[in-house]
Amino acid sequence: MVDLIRKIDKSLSSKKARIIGDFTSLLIFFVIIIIPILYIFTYVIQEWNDVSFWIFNNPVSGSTRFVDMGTALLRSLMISAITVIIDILIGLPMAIILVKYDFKGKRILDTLVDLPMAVPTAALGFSILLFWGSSSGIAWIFGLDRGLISPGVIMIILTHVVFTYPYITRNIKVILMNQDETLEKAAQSLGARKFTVFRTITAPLIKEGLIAGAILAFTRSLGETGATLIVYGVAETAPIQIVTLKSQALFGPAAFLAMILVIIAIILLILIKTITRKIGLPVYRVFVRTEKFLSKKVFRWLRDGFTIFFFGFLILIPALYSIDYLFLNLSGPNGAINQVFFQSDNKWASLWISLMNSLSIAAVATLINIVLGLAMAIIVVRRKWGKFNAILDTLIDLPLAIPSSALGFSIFLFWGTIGPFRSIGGLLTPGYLLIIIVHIVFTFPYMTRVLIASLEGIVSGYEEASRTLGAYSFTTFRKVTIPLLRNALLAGSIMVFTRSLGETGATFVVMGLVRTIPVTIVDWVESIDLPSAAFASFILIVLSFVLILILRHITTREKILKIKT
Amino acid sequence: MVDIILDNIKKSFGSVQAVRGVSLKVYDGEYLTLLGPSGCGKTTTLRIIAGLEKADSGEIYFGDKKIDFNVPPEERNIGMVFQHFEIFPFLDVWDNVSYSCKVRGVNKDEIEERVSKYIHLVNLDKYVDKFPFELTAPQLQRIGIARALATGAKILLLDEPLGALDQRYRDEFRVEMRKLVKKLNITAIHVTHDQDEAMMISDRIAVMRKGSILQVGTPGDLYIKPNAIFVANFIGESNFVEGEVKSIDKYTQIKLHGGGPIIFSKNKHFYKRDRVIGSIRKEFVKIKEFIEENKLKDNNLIEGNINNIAFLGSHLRVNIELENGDIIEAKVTYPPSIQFEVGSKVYIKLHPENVLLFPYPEDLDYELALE
Repeated sequence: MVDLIRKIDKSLSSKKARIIGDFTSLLIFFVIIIIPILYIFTYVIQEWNDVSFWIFNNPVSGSTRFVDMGTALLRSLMISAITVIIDILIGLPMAIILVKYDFKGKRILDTLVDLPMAVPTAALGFSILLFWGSSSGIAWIFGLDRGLISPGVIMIILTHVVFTYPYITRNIKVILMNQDETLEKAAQSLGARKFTVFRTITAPLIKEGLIAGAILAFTRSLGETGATLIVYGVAETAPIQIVTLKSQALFGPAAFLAMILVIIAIILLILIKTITRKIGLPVYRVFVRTEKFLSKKVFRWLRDGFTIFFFGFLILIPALYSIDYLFLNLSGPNGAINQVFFQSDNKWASLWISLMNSLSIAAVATLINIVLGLAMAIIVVRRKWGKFNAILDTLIDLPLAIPSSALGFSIFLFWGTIGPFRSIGGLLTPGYLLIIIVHIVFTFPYMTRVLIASLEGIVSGYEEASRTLGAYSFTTFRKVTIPLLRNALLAGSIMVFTRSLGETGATFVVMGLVRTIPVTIVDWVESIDLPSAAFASFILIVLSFVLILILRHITTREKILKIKT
Repeated sequence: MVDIILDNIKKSFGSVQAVRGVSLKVYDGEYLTLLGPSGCGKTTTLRIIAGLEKADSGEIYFGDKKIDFNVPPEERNIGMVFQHFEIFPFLDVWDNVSYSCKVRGVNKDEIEERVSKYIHLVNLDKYVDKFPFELTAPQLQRIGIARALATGAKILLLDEPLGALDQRYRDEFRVEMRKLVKKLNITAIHVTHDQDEAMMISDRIAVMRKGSILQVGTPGDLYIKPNAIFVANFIGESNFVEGEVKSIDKYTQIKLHGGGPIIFSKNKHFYKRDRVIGSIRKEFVKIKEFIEENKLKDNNLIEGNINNIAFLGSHLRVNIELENGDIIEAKVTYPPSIQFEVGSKVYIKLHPENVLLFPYPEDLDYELALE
């Protein structure tokens, strides 16, 4: 047995095996992930006549559709910009509070900050709709008989802030934690006041992370579909319009709009990789008086107070309000229990089926991404292919930057009846398999990024040691590299699983008749069965929250593996 | 027979020539050290022997067997100890040490026996089920040694194994490691930049610089008969003086530059008027009282002024300025046999056999640099 394993390991360690492995991984990476999400370009060019007929020169609507698109796009860009500004105003001070201060309940605050991330977007949109827009949320507090804000641009912004501010807070938190405080102490010893220290020392150090985080938040906001679908009212954003156009079978215009979103996303992605490092911060001149004034304790208190107040009021409570709503509307004839379990339409059955669908889709996506992610991470980190590695490294993030409905639509076109496989009637029609493929694609970066970071951190010394001890390179991979990557694999898996569990936008485009849990929530909100939707949200939130708690536990435990030398 | 033979090994990284034609024979059971400043190619040479790096040209033999550069490390049957230990963090001590047996498919009973033997040899019996993060750096390196030995290999490669340890553990380790290697009768190649370590631990030392071996010899050879200014400078501590050969009879007479005094050397490989560098070990510089009759009795005394004295416990470091401005440092065991203080006029005596001569190099600064 041992001999057999050793033989297999030896043959898998050969150069030939490695080349075949690399080639297969790259082939899958391009065919399953990259080409389908860029297929939209080919499609638009091929179908240009159709596209221009529907958008620009339609005999009935003229160019109104083009104007509509422009409006939606501008609205999306504006929403994203305002969202990012609010994100920075709340997320940046929050990161500082979490890293620089020591206080009772810091761990609790830290968990609370991550909590909204556990709320899948569809559940989130629903929760926010209930809090701001229904008679039972904020209206109830102020004694009004209907919601304070109706669905529309403002509610979209309030929703987007909740799931995008972690990009700022988490990025900055990590940077601040790894940062050497001696620089700041040195500045203080040189006579700089707190505010000046922050502006001249801390800010330049966190600049890159802040810009990268802001761009990511912007792209996420630009492409979000699931939550927006619930709160948009009549203010269509670009991703929503894609969903609408697709549901009207206007594939040409939908592809055109998706393509514009993809182009914007790619430009932003390239910006992250290239210019974040080069942007300088203005003025090194110090306005001594003003800054001395601003360094007063009062301002710090004000800043901290406002940050925590807005965090609680704009983010935390609205994001979790659906739970409160559920418990208020649990029993009674219109309560969740009665609606879900004792009605003739058997909601519990569809809930159960969609839950199983979600879980199995997430599990398959996770498993496949473990294999593909490992292979790609090794290629990017270990193979010395120069420029090609750098290109691969950028391409890996591509699915992350592309709006989910555009991504779903492009994949739908690629595999479907009007894609490159049209001669054989398309390979995949909307349904379970296509949902799995879409989920593999958009969760791929989450897994691979974590693995790349971890692999880069592993000193190759461990692997060299293993080989001098007589282990073949594949044995080394099995016995040394994988155990070293164990935490990263777990963390990546949980990220992928949670994201897959909560995804709505892309799923909407490719689901056909299959339902996942977030889609079910959207369905029920649309049929105004709010208690049932709250019930489904609750299940989804609890699942995700447990997974995120495990994730936090793993990532904090990671330190143990580091040996002090 | 596991002599290790390197024949004209060359290796470049891009435009940097790391190893420029190294040839070396390491005898069966020998403890040999590759000694040199950082960047001299010693670690690259070791990694080439281990198979962790492929040489560009040259040949390697283990015994009579030629080792192709493509033979991967796992098939070379060597043990290697790393500077940063590289103890697998997710395995306990036992699993770390038994790793090589397991991946090679050694049967259970033998693993049990071999692993406990080597764990015992490095005194870690108490720690078998500890994980690396629970151990100290010296303990980790003990695991590193046991793990390398448990391969059963007859060749042990050590890459700065004591580099990451505190000074006070190093001395202890040196003695222990040499004993261990000798007891197990294995051939060891040890890489270090620490000359004390090399002197203490090795049968022979190969001094490397800029990718080449300058001299191979026993610690004694290198100390007494260095064949290059760099070796004289790197091993032990020497004074270097500049001068010209005046005459050659019983001894070679050298007139020091700048109108300095004459010194004598036993070395006779030079001609009159040759420019030379004289090298004198600091501990061979003797200080004599400044009394006229001393000078009458012995014409090999040089006049000088003491301009600095440093007390270092076991010995003093005394700087003596000669009349031409050269400064000679003497290491004088404490307590000194004569009285002196800063400002004292003294004679120094340099025995001719302790004055080594080297031809004046093209680039003296380069020869005297320690890198």
